[in-house]
Amino acid sequence: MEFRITRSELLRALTRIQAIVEKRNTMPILANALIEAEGDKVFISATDLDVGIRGAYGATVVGKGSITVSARKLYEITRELPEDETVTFRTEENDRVGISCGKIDYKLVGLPPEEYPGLPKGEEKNLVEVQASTLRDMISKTLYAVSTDETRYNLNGLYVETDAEKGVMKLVATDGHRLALVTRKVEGVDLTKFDQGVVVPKKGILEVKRLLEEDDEPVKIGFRKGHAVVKKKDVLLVTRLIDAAFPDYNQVLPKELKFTLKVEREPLLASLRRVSVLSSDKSRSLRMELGGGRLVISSTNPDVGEAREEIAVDYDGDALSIGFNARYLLDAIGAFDEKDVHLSFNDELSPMKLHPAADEDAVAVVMPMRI
Amino acid sequence: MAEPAARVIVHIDMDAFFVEVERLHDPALRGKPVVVGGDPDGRGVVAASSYEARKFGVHSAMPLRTAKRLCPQAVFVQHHRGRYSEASEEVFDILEVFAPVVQPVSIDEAYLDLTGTERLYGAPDAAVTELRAHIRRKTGLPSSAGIGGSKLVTKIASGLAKPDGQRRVRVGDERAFLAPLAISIIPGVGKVGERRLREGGVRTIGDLDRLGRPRLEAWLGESGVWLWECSQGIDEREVQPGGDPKSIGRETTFWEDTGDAEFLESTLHHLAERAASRLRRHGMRARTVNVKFRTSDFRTSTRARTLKAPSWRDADLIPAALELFRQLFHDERGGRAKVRLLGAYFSGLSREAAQMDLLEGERERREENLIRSVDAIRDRFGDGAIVVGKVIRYLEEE
Repeated sequence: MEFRITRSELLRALTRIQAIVEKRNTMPILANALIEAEGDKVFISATDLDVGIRGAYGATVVGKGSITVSARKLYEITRELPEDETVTFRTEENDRVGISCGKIDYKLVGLPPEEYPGLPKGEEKNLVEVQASTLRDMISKTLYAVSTDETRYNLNGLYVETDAEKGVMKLVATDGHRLALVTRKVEGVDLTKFDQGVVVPKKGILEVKRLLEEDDEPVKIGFRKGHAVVKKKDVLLVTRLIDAAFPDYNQVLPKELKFTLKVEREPLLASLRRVSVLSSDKSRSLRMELGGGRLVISSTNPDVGEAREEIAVDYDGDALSIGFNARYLLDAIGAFDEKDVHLSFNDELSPMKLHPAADEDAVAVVMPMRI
Repeated sequence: MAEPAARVIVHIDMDAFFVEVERLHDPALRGKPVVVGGDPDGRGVVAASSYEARKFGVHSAMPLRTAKRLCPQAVFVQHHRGRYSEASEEVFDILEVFAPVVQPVSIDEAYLDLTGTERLYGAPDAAVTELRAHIRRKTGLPSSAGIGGSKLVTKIASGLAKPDGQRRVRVGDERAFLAPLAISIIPGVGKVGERRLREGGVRTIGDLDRLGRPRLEAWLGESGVWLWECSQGIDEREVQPGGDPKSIGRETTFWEDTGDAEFLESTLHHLAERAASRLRRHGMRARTVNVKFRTSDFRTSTRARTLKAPSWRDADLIPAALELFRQLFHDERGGRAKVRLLGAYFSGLSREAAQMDLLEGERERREENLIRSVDAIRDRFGDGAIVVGKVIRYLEEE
């Protein structure tokens, strides 16, 4: 196998797979990228058996074939090569790889491609096209709430649900303390092609997010038979789904809320950040006190000191004093992007609901702390 | 600036505490001379003695053999630390509800600051009478108290009021109250100090008063100043609130060693339940659950488990304790060991804010209401008033 490829194209390919290649070394070959040359394209793939990505890149193929080689080393090498140069890549005896660029030569030890396990098998049929910006927005408003607690396996991903009748797609995330839910209309898409309710693991979502952040190219997505597939022009991303039931989030969404408060988002975020400097390291708790037309945010750390900040608000409900994890409020409000935010609640021990003032379809629910 | 109101301080001291606790467990000990400490022919010392035994000259820290010689008719009983700390906690629970500031001095002794409670409780004498009666009703234990304006005076007054009495020294009456008393009654004047003062012709606190501050200072330096202040009843030390407990637990020693796993689990469940209820009364959560276990050959093992998050819920604490017990019991000769003592302890205590669960929120809230109701019933009618089925066996057999 031999091909020539521009440094920039090779770097683009290798950057895409860096987060996927296995770092824990359970199977050494998973630290490698699979490189295949055929026609006028080079295909570069990586997988950790849960998530896999395969991209096609323009190249001049001199001789077709395939090899696997350390994805990390190849990336580090390519990054250091001079810009605007062409790289020649060829296989040699004993699964060795020669890389040359002008007067620079590398020899890398590879592993035979026959041993490479291949990508998770997703079904590429029945994909539906979604705007990159829509999906990007939905992910950024929910991803923060995904649980990282490995004992709560069913919460370790984003729940994707569609309602074909209403023509909407929903993303939901929760870690058991808070929940994020975004509902968006997906225009001109036949949602009946989706399976109902799947949980996409966080690592897969992070890869999707990276793809979406590259450009505004629309993507095609599908969820079938235990896998999620995302296709964009010349790249295919497949991720295994989490095989566990997501909790019934509708039960958790507060239905009737007695009090609502409208606050400017940016100043509220800034106050929360200032006060959280002195929230206890362990619990990260802060207190929100409401009453008499003002919101007082305060924190106490017995070892360090205390902080207090007052915000004038339009509120005439009951006097309340509610404890929250500062991190949860910052995450939720930070993920919104409009001028004002609505906070609604019932009492000290019930969940608070937050949403951007003009967007009731992007919701965060945060459970209080007992203080 | 206005003159600050006179302080109202109470020194409360349980009477022959260990002995009285033993009498609760064995009413046959009432009215008899009792010595707590163990085998009178062994090498131990007296931990406590009843007033009946004290008449014969028995006192704490005396070798048990000497005590037996002085009072051969005394009943000698083993020392049960668990029983005393449990009873002590019950007493302190009462004190803490009653007084705004409680300073524990030892297992059976505390200073209370009642300044400013007159409107709530009325005159201090009546309030303390009621407090002592309440302690007696709830725990069955007698106590004595001194009431006054300083720690020094109340401590001396409670000593004079014993047993089962109380004495008030009004602010302004301190000098007259103290004058006839022997100098050795002052806490801090030991044998050496007493001898030195006697050599100088000082026998009573009144003698100190008559000598006057300049002469005492010239004679004894700083100690002289302090002694003179004592003679005037001057003692500015404040009642300092005690800190939070480091661990909360319950243990029990069986009348007879037992290898009955079901009975042991029933017992541990009961102990953990009571400890958890106490934890909640302190408004604290525990991160670590500990189980303590002593076999018939006197070997003690403990095992601990750290919870995912600090908790005060029975549903987190009790199963963890039972699980630890099963491990320990199994590891001790494959479950064939005989157990002498069993205890459940919670440590890693904090008042940190606790995150509530969103998915379990409703269930958690209902459970909390239930726990609070159960705690309230127990506070009112005692620990045995409401129990889970598993504990009945323990309550029936012990």
